[in-house]
Amino acid sequence: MKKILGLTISALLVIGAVGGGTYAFFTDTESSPNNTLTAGTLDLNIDGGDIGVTTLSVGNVAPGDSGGDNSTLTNSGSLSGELDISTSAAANTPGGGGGEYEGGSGELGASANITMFIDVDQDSAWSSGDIGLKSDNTTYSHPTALAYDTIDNFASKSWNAVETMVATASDDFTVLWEIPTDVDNTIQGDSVSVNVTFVLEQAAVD
Amino acid sequence: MATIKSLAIIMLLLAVLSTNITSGTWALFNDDEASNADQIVSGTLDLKTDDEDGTSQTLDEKNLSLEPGESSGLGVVALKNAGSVVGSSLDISFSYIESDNITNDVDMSADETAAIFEVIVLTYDVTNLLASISDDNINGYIDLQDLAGTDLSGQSGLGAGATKDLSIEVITDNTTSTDFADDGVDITMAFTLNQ
Repeated sequence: MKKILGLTISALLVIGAVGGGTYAFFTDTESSPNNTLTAGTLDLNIDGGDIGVTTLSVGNVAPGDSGGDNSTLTNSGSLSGELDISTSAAANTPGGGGGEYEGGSGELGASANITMFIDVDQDSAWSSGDIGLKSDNTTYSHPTALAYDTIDNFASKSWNAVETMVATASDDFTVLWEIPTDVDNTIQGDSVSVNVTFVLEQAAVD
Repeated sequence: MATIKSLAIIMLLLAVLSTNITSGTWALFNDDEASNADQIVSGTLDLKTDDEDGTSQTLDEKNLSLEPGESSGLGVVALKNAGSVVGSSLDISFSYIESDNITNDVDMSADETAAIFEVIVLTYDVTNLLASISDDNINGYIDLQDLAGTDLSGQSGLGAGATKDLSIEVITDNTTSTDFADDGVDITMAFTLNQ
């Protein structure tokens, strides 16, 4: 009985030695070093910088006058982004200085018409491929005629995902204005001001 | 019991993962820029007569009571564009209404009365407006009745801040009969400055 037990232990030791022998077989190891993960950038510039600009500033306008101006929006980052646009409330100011028609609450915002569009091809004209902003928060495209409305009606509006700007893309934001000839003297000396905010956001945020 | 505990842990983990995924959408990149204080300011077109808005008295300043052959004297109205927008043209018009004294034995009409006042001076800036008026009532001279029937619109305008004078002088026809005693007219000169 004692002898049988000794043999059994030996067998286990042999098995163990055989098992340990498998670590001596051929092996080869390779590595994939320097795997780098770098974040892209989403950087919207207006007129070449990151500081707010004034796109439109005109004075001494009168019925029948019209004009326009623009700012350049550039995606200076490395990622594509969706462009959102919004406007602030209109700040209407009555004329000062004691003129005959000055006073009230300022009627220019309800009288002056504007239209805004993204001039994608930057040709300073409403043309194929450009994107118009309508005062009902919707967008439209050429050849639909430019949609004018009063400044007051364009205020406090937003347009989401107006377009996708790929990296390095530049478009012009254009504002055209006109003072109708049928407005009366109540607008004399009045002023109206609106801020426009542009947000370039990574796609699929909305 | 152990199975229930395990399920609870798994569900808790799922809930945590779900929260992380949801909050992760807020971390997507965005950049905003602004176009500030985009502004339109209206100009002004503000005509003043003798630096006032509304009526300014010229001929009737002393409630003139003229005898035949008597002059009103030269009346001058300074027309000023006190606004900031150029006025391209000025329209001038004259009208009158009857204005008799209470004691008026013979009542002559406004037209008849206007016709006895000969206009001897009517200039705007350097322009003699009498040259533009015809003797429509054919009484031999240019009078207030002729003046009221003439279109004097389209005179030279006024630049921002500019002033031009309108001068007028009338004289009562020296052949006026006593039937016109206590008859009179109130004259209104209207000026419109156009953009």
